[in-house]
Amino acid sequence: MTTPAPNDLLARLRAADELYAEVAPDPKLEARLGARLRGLAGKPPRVAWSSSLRGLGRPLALVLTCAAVLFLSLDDDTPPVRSGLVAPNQTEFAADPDAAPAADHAPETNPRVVGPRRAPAPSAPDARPVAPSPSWRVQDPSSPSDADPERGPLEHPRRGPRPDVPPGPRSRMHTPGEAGDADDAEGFVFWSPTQALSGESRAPMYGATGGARGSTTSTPKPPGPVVEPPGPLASCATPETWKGRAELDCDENGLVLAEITYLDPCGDGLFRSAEHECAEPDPEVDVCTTDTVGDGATCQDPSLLKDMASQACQLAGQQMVDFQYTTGDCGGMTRQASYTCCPPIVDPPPPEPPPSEPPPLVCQSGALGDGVTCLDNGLLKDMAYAACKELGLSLADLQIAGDCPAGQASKVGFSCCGP
Amino acid sequence: MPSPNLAPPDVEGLLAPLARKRLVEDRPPLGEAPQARAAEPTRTATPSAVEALYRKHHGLVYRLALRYGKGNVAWAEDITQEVFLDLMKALPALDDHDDLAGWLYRATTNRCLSRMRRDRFRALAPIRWLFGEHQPEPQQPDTLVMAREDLRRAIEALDALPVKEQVAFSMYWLDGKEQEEIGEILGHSKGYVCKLIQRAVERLKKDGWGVSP
Repeated sequence: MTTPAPNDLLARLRAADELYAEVAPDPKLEARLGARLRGLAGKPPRVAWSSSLRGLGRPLALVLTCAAVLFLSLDDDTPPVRSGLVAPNQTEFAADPDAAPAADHAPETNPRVVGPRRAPAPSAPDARPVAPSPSWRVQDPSSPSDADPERGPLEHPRRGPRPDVPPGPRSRMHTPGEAGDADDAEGFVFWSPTQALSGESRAPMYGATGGARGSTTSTPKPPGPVVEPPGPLASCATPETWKGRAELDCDENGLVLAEITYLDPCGDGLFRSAEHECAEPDPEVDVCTTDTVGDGATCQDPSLLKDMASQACQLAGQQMVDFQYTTGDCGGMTRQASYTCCPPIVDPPPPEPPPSEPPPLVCQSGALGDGVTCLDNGLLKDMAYAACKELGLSLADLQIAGDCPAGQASKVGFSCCGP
Repeated sequence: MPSPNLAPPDVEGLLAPLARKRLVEDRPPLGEAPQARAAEPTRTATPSAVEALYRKHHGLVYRLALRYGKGNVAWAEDITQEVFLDLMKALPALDDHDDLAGWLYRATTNRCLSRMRRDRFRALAPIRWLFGEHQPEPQQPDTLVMAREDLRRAIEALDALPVKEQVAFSMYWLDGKEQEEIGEILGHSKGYVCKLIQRAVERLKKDGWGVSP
C-alpha cells in the first residue's frame, strides 16, 4: 500500500469518504423517520409556522421598532394640510357664540397623533356681527343643525372645526339645494338675508362658507346686497354667474376678485359651486375716470368745455386723454361733452450717460540745481513750479537736498502730475 | 477552461460504495424484470414503502451528508431525514424506472448545499446577533475522521472553500460526475460549473494542496 503524498488532498478526501461509508446511521433515526413519515401521511401538508417563526423575534422587533420610529418621525405637530375644498363646519364663522364648538362633536380623526391630545387654542367669543349678507347653505329641515335653534348653522355633527387652523382667504359658494363636499351629508343652506335681518339666532355664513387657508380675509363682512341663487333652486350655474357673484362678494368688502375656481361640474359648462379668493385692490394701479362737462341744456363753445375738462383732469392729477362732444341743435356749439382723465404717462428718464472715466494721471519728475551751488529754497521751489507749469502739470512733490546752510539747497528733485 | 476529462481515471473504482454502482447492481436484468420488480418495494407514498426505501438507500444519503457535514452526525441525520421526507412527497411522481439513487443523490446534494449556505449565513456575526445566537460551537468532530490529523486538515481545507465550489469540487473529483451533470443538479451551466471547479482547485493549490488524479 502506497502512502499518499502529504499534500494529496484527493487521497485524503477519498479516505474520509470511505470512512464515512462505514458509518451506519443511528437505528433511532429510522424510528424517528418512521414516526415523521406516519405523521406526514396522516396530516395534510401544512406550513410549519412555529419552526419558521422561531428565532424571528429579534428581527421582527427590529423591524417594528424602525417602523415605529419612522412613523413617529413623520408625525409632527403641524395640522394636516388642508387644501382645496373645506367643509362648511371647518370655518370660523360660528356666529352663535352660545353654540357648542363643533370640535366637541367630532373626535380627533388623525390616528397618527400619539400622546396627549392638544388643547384647543383659546379663542374669544366671536364678536363679529351677525351678517345679514347673503349666505349659502343647503336648506335641510331634517338636519340636526337646522332643527336645533341653539346650534349654529355651521355646526356639523360629523366634523368639527379645527380651532388651531387659521381662517383662510378662500371662500366657497354653493347653489342652494346642493350638498357641499361629497362627504358632507347636509351641505350648505342658502341663508336668506331676510332671515338674517329678522334676527334669527342662527347666523348665516357670510357670502361664502369661508375657508381654512390663508390668514387675511376672514374678516367679517358688512351687510351687502342679496345674492340670489340663479333660478329656483337651481343646482348648476354658469361660470359667469359664479364669477359675478364672487365679484359682488368681494366688492362688498372693498376687495377685488383675485381668483376663482369652478367646482363640481354638472354638465354643459355649468358648475355647482365655486371657490374664490378676494384680494386687496392694488393701490399702485391708477384707473382712468370718465366724466362729462356741460349741463346738457346750455349750448357752449366746445373749446370752453374742453378747457374745463382739461382743468378737471389736472385738478385730479391726471391728464385728459379723450374728449368727445355731442353736436346737437346748437350749431357749432355743444351742450355736453365727455372726457376721460388718466394718470399722466411719465416718460422714463433717459438713461444717464455712463460716467466718463477720469483721465489717467500723468506724472513727470525732474531736478534743479547743480548740487554744488547753494540757492534759496524759495527760489528753487519757484523754479520747480515754473517747470511744472510749463509742462501743463502741477507740482506734486518737492525734495530738497544738498549740504547748504539753512534755507538753502544745492539740488531739488520735484514731481509734476496732472491733470 | 479545464478539460472535461480532469476526473481521475479510477474514479469509478474509488466510488465503489456510491449510488451509481450500487444501483446498477441492484437493477434487475431485463429478462427477469417482473420478478425483480415484485421484490423491490412498491413506490407508493406510504410510510412503510419509504421506510423500506430508507433501509435500502440510506447509506448513500447518509454518507454524502456526513461528507458535506464534515462528519457531524447530527447534521447528517437531519439531512437524511429531510431527504426521505422529501422522497415521500415526491414518490408518487417518480416513475418505476426512475433512477431512485440518482434522485436521492440530487436531493441530498441540494439539501446539503442549502443547509451549508444557511449555516454560513447564520454564522455571520450580525446575523448571529440578530437571531440572538451565541458564538457557534465548533462542530463535533467525527471520531473516525478527526482521529486522523491528515484527514482533518484535508476536510478543513475543503470547508474553507465557498459552498458552491466545495460541492462542485466534491461532485467532480470525488463522485466522478461530469460537469454537465453537475450543472443539471445544481441548476447551473456547464461553463459556470467549470469555473467553480477551477476556482476551487486554484484556491486549494494556493493553500499548498495538490489536486491531481
